[in-house]
Amino acid sequence: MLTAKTVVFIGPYDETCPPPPGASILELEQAERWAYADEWPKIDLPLAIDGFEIRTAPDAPREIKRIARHLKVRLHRPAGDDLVRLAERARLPRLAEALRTTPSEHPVSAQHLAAMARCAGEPTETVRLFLILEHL
Amino acid sequence: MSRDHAIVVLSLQRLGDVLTAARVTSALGREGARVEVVHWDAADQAAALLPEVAERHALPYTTLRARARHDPIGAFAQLRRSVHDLAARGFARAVNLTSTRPACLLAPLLAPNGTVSGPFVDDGGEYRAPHPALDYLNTRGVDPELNVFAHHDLYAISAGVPLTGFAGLGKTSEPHERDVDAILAVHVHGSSHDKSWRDSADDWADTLVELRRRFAVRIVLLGAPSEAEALTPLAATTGAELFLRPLDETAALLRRCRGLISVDTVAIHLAAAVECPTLVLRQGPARGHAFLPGPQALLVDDARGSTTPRDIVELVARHMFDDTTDPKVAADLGRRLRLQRVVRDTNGYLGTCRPEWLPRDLQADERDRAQRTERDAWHRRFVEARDAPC
Repeated sequence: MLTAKTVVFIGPYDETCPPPPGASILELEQAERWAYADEWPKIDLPLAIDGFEIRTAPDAPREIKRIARHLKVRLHRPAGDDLVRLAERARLPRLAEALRTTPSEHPVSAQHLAAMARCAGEPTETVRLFLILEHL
Repeated sequence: MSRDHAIVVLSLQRLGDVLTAARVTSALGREGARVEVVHWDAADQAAALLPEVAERHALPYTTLRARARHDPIGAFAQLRRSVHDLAARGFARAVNLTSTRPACLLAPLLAPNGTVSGPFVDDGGEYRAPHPALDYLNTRGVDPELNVFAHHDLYAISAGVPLTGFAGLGKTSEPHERDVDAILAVHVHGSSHDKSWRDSADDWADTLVELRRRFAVRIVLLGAPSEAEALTPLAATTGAELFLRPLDETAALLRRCRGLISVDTVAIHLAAAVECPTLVLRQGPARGHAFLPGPQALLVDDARGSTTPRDIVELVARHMFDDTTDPKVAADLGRRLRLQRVVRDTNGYLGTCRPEWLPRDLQADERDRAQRTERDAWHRRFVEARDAPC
């Protein structure tokens, strides 16, 4: 039985499914337990439910959006404060500070983060890695 | 072995391209280096076949790409862990065989205290191509009408790797004896629709039936397991056998085959590596010199619909069974189709020439000669670059 505090994680996050550790969503730590695909027989696509929120990209496959509508939940990806905390956890202090001082309500891309990291004075390696992700 | 001799070869490409890295890993390994390979996880089967490789490292392309879109900082942390683990291995040299932006950005990170061969992006964000072979690749090399080199030859020469000698697949890259059976392998599906010779697998039925009748061979259909549904009816109606197996098993099969007919670049490069004669039906992006396989290949550049099933059978007769009994048929093939045999020239580069069983054609001979001359001229520049003082 799924509850409001249940988190369901189903691929394609190969390395974080099943999480933890190393899960990409901060709120995973607050989940009471993990439930996997076989506990939700009609869903076989990437999905995380945290309370009444599905945490995945707005441009996720159509099926996720359909499920989100069915559950009356909103789609979400990290922005604003979430990103600051994620940057701190990733040991990117200058980027975290830059994100704190220029908060965004909108999702931030790898390209945007590469530019912010460069301006904030993060090491070249950090900028390179974000640029690699941008071009995948 | 000392880490001073450890080289990481970066091949962030698709299956067929990764197979062409065999020449580089083979040569570096035989020179005494410890060779490790970094590749995308989706190309794992191809990377596993590369010779002289001590260790492989797969980067999770699909995972990173998906994660970068919804959680770029999480993706960053994941990628950074992988890169740090690789850099900690202390490679003396990174050899990049890929011109894509991710590979050029990644190459310097893999050998932070070593050198980079091949293209890379410097700390100022500038693309660097520190060899004239890469200059060529990025200018004339991207134009199918102008390019006269196989791109994998250009990457190899830019890495200082000789183009002569055997560079097959397998642990030690020693030549295998080909113990040929009466089998023709056929790969009917390209990796993309615009490479396909015919619109559906069923369009191959007449060709397969005629091949069996004319040459008394077993026909084996190659493909990925996901193609089973599309290929099973074709096999059932033509008496062909299905072989939807991993690349290592496919390579072992091709060692025993009389030949391969294929529209698929993975199968073509696999066949080249085991010296299996191949009839390559090329469409769309596979044309030109960029993706030439080995010297056992006959290329048929097919304007869609111009090559008939009967043509395929006649070409197989000439290329794989040395049947040249009907010169009129050969003349007709040469008039209607663009046919080129792949050869290695005297400097070791792959090129093309008109098949010897076709009637002489002065225009085609002149084109082949011009391409050889151009390769010779560029080769001199490449050698000068190699011999120039640092």
